[in-house]
Amino acid sequence: MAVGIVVVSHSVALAQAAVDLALQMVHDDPPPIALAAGTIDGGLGTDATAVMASIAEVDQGEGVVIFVDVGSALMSAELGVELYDNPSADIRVLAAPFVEGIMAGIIKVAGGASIDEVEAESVAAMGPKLAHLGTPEQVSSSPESNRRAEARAEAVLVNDAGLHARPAAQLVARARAFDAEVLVSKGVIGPVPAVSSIGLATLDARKGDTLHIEATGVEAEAAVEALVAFVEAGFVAG
Amino acid sequence: MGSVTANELTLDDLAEWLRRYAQIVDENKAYLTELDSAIGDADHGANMARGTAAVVTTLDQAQSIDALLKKAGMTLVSTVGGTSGPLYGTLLMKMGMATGQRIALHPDEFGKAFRAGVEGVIARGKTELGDKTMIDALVPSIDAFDAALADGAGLHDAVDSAQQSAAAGRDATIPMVARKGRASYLGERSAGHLDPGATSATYLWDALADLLGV
Repeated sequence: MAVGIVVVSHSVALAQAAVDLALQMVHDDPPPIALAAGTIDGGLGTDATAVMASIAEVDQGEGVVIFVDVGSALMSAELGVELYDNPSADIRVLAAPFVEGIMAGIIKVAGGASIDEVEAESVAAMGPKLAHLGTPEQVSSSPESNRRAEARAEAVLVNDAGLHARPAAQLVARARAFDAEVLVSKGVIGPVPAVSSIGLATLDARKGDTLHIEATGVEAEAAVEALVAFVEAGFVAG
Repeated sequence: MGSVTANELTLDDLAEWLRRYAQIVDENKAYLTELDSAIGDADHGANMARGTAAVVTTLDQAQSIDALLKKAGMTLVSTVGGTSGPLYGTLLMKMGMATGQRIALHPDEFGKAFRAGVEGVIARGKTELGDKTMIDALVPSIDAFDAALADGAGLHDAVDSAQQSAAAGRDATIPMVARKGRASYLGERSAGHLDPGATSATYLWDALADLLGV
């Protein structure tokens, strides 16, 4: 049982290529994916009845996420959900970027994630590009000193890989263990939730960079203390 | 001159309405595409002609008005390809849901069903009046239709009034700046052009007027 994925596109070639790109990252059995792309006569366009059929194909009871490209794909997807007409099924059209979202979503589903996790990761999937290229809003938004946190501290990355995928995943697992909401930032980038691996990736934090870790909640202090120690020990359990 | 003189619309009348709509769309296919090439992706004429031609092949099967309209709507959804598919499809499907299993509608029942369809389009497109879309023709037309009936007019005169209001609403889209769809990417440059969706929506009333000999 897995979350189902439906890709709605004007073009079969575009949908298939986006899925192929994402599946390069999956080495086990691929998750349930169905394409609803192109018009009935093979042209460019979308079809709500095809969306409905695709939802039916991949709905295993764990919910279905729908990725859409442009224009009519959105309305065809929404209408397709209505036509599927199954109030007990959790079907979501995601406000995610098409290529990045499909990649994040497929990886998440392949890892056995819930529909909430798949949605959160897919919708946040523009983050790495935004963080790398920057936006005017990002530079001025929520400076670290204006946020209210119950505990905060800094940690310098000492391991060679920095906050790469594997250390980030370890940090996520550690952060989850505490009854606290933990945020991580690097300079003006962030903050991002410490439990989001995509969020952490947006920080582009490397060896020698300083992470700001802050937390609110019952175990805020314990969380910050433990995570700082973990980072400064080079992601080795102390 | 059309064939309908009674103050009701039968199953056959509504099938004929959609047939004539398809015919008008087909005759104006190049014109609609030309309008769409100014502010969109130049496919509205071809998309609508393909969809309405597919609808015509379904019209003989229906035994009731709701079945006729739902089938026609579903056919548009699966054949048009562009945003007009879900929008016109929703218009007809919501109309069908509002009529129930009938074989004839009084003018006020047709008006109610049409309004349900227009409300469906607004909900589907999350559109407001003045966004330069098909509802800029549809909303004033159904308002005029209802107002004419309320003033004691019959079907013929109410359709006449609706047709004129649809055309006026359509023409009023020319100076508007698009806020929905691909035309919205153009911003201010979308002003000065007639909206293709408002134009094809007006054909709905032209087709009914044609049928009624208005």
